[in-house]
Amino acid sequence: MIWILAVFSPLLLLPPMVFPPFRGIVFRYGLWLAPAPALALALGGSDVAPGLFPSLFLETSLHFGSFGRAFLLITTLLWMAAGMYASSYLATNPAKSRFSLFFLLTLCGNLGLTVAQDLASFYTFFALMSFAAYGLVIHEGTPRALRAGRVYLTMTLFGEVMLASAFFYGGLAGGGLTFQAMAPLLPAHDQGTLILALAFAGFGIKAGVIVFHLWLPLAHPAAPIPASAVLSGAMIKAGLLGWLQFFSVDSVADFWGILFACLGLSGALYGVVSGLHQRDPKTILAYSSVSQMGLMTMTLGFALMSGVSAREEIMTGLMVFALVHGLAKGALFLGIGISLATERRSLSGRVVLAGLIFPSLVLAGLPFTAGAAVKGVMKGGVAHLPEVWSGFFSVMLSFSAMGTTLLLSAFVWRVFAAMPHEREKGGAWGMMVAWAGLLGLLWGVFPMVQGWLPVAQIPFEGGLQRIWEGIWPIGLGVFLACLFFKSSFASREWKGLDGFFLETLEQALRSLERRWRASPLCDPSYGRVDLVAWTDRLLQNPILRTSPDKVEQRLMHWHTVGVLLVFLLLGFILLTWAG
Amino acid sequence: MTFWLPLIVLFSSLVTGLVIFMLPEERSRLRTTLNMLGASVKVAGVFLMAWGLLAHDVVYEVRFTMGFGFDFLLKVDLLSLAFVSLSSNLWFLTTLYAVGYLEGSPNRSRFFGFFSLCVTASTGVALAGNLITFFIFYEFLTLVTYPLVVHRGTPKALEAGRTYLWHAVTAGAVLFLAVVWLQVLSGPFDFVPGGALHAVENLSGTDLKVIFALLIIGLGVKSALVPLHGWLPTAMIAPAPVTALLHAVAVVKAGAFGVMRVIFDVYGKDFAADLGLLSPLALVVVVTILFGSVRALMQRELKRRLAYSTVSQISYIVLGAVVLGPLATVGGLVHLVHQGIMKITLFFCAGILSEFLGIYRIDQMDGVGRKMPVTMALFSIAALGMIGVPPVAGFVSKWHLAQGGIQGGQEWVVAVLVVSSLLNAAYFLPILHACWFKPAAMDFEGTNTQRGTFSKWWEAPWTLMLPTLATALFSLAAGVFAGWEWSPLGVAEKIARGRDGGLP
Repeated sequence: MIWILAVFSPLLLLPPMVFPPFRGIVFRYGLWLAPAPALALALGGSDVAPGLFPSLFLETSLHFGSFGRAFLLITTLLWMAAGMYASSYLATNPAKSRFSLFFLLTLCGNLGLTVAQDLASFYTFFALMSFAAYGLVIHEGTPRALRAGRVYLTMTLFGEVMLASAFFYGGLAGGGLTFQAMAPLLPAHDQGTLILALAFAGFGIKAGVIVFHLWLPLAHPAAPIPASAVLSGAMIKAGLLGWLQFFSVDSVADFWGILFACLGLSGALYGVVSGLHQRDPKTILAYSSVSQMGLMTMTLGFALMSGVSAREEIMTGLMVFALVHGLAKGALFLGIGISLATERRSLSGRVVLAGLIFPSLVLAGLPFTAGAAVKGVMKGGVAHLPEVWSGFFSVMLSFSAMGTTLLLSAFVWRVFAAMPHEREKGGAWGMMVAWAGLLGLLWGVFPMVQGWLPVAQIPFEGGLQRIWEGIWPIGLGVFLACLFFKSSFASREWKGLDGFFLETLEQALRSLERRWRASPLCDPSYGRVDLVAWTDRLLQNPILRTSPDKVEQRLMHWHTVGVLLVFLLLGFILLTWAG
Repeated sequence: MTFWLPLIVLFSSLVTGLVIFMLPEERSRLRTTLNMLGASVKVAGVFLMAWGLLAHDVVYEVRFTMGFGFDFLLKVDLLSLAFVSLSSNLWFLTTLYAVGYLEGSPNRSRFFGFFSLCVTASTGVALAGNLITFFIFYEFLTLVTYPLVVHRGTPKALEAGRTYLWHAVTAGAVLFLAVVWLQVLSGPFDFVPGGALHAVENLSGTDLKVIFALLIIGLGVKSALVPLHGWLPTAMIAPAPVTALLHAVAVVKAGAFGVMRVIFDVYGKDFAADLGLLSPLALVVVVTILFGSVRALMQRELKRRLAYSTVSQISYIVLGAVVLGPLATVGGLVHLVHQGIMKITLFFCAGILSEFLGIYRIDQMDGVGRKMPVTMALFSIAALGMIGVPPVAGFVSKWHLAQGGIQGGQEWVVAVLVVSSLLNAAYFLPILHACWFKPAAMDFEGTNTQRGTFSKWWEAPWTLMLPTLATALFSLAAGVFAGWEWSPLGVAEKIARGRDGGLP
């Protein structure tokens, strides 16, 4: 029962919203209180019995599994912060009830999928989250948001049907409808590769793997700030969790590990390159998400490769990475709204800027922060790789840390440039609390992680050498960022490869649609047998209209009748004789 | 009681219908009372039968001979129970809806009389225990739905009625030929789970193939298989309760149910597969599913779009019958119910929109969600279900159909379902976007006066809102509680287990 309460508590707030007086209350307190039961479960639920609900969906089973608890923790923390932020950030928004509705629906989906351990309920929560998030993406109703929503919904649909197919096949792979029973059977299964490929692509769209990421830099910034924070910090992780449920770490083919690692790395670098020339700070953050998810994908790839001994360690590190990225990205997004309401040259302006720089440095892996622990784990993973890959990836790792610094410097710079000169009233109370909360958690995440997350200490030794390795990519990144802003590239606006590709595609689709509209298929009567017209033509036929009369007249003559009678008699005699 | 109960269920609507014909036009309260009484008796009777059959294994059978060795046979098995409970419950709700919808319009006695007869016919179709009885009620259904289709009496309605009659009567003739031919060759036989024909000796394969083709053509017109679907989009001219009933319960469903009977209980799925009959039918079904969706995408009128959607969705049921895996049988059976409750919700909502806001075309629907939030919320639930978004019922059907295809080694089923779901999304999601997120296209305040205004909570009279609410909640609950023993899925699994085997 505790599982049901934790997952469905956001939906409990929907019925009161039918009555207008309650809408304000739900908006003010409901948005951030809704994930509270789930947070309690994530913190204290280490020995709650698994929830089995045979009547719900197709035999639902809800429990933490191997990774659910970490994901539930990220999800609840981030949604709580976003809910609190939203309740003051959007307080004057005319459509705030609609926002609450979609916010709560999406939240329910996101909470549910972290603890759903069977295929049907996972898919249900995943779909609920994906479709309800459309309402968040287009909330502002601007042409930009609508276009982003269109791209988002189209790609999500394709993702959904790919996942559905993967689930259809997966459910029949033997072992029943739970991930625990299904996933280990997949690698040896006849259609295993197909299932894994479908799951890879389907979840890849959510996780923003390169090629599948096209919607992400459009949709994440288009939503209102608190929604962007959960999109980029929490929901994007659903793709990662999905992969973890399908790809059982011990048994999948090597090929998958290499694919994950390579695509992840390309995504990490591509995100930096594409994000750098964006103007909108939120878009830069979205590209940073593409880049960071790329790094997570790469780390997962390390764990999937065979011959890697320290799988447990890498997986723990991946969980910490997801947590750190969630908190940091959330803090960065929420920080935008606050900086835009703070005077640039004032003391509070500087404090706010520091509050943006800190999470950026954590993401870049500054020593003595959780980010460095994550980098340490990835380095550890690289060291365990086969000879061929090890050298390449360890260089690339430092390179990506530099890229992260570069990209986030650009972000801080763009935010700084956008901060107002004149005196502003600063962020509202709820916004400040939410933001400060996330920053505090990010600061304290290191001890927290060691207490709560499954097993294994994070390897964190190596002294000065390690610290130097953490610092030089950041220093170099900042230096490059300064060069970049001095150069003329910074002032030029480029659409980038993504924008170019999408525009070409949209043009092609539009012309296809025009042709389609002109095709005979659009004709209302197309494709059916017009029985009425046929029969009409038959009945109105001159032969058919006159010949019955003619036949009848012929029958009036005696000799015709006589001849017919004789033939009839003969025929009968013949029949009798034959039979 | 085992003899009388099926007759009570059948006659509850027949007698109601005949009495209503006699009533003068202005006795509307008495007419409503009679209607609801008949519907309640029917629902209660069906419930009793279900209880007897499922809990106590009582066999309900009515048999008497009609001469020529043919028996008139009503027999309740699980399959007929599924269909008859769908039709009786939805009839109850639709009658309520129709009472509100047609309030104050002329010729209501005629309408409700034929309405009752129509449900009698579909009950008969459900309960028929052999092909002859099935055929009798099937043709009866054709004749009594005609007056409903042309109820408005406008030239357009008459034209639609003519099209309908041509299609249905021609198909009836073909069906008659097939039924007689089959009876002549094999002698009288009853429906037997697992097929009756493979036990009959001396039947040539060619005869059986031709008869099968004729049967499918005869039944395919009502179940709107392409290219025999032409009447269905035209018939959407009928009043909303009629189209709702046509699409969800009566005519279209009777056709699909007939196809199921022929494949499951006359030929037997395995026997039909051995004869090579299922692959050509599967091709027709696939074409219908995709073609219906594509055509729906092209429509500008809401009800026409819904009608083409029916063309596509009904074939899911037939798909369940032609795909070999046992899970597909479950999927087809459960879609018989799911499609009914979802599509009837959509037509109920379309009726409310047209009657109270004057909305007929999709481009008029911009921003209507703000004017009628409850109606459009129910519409959204049903539409999402049609696309196959969980947790609404449609997803459960698709899940089982696809898995059945994989089980039977026919993986094209998955591809077809994927493409069809994408097309469904392409024609439903823009409607949902328009009604919730776009600014209002027309001034709804002015149009509301058509039938008077209602309180804030009832966007239409309660007789219209309550059935819509009920069917929408059914569609949601059927998906959310799919794992329950007595959910549509649970019952479908029971039915499938009693049949071709294969389902553990």
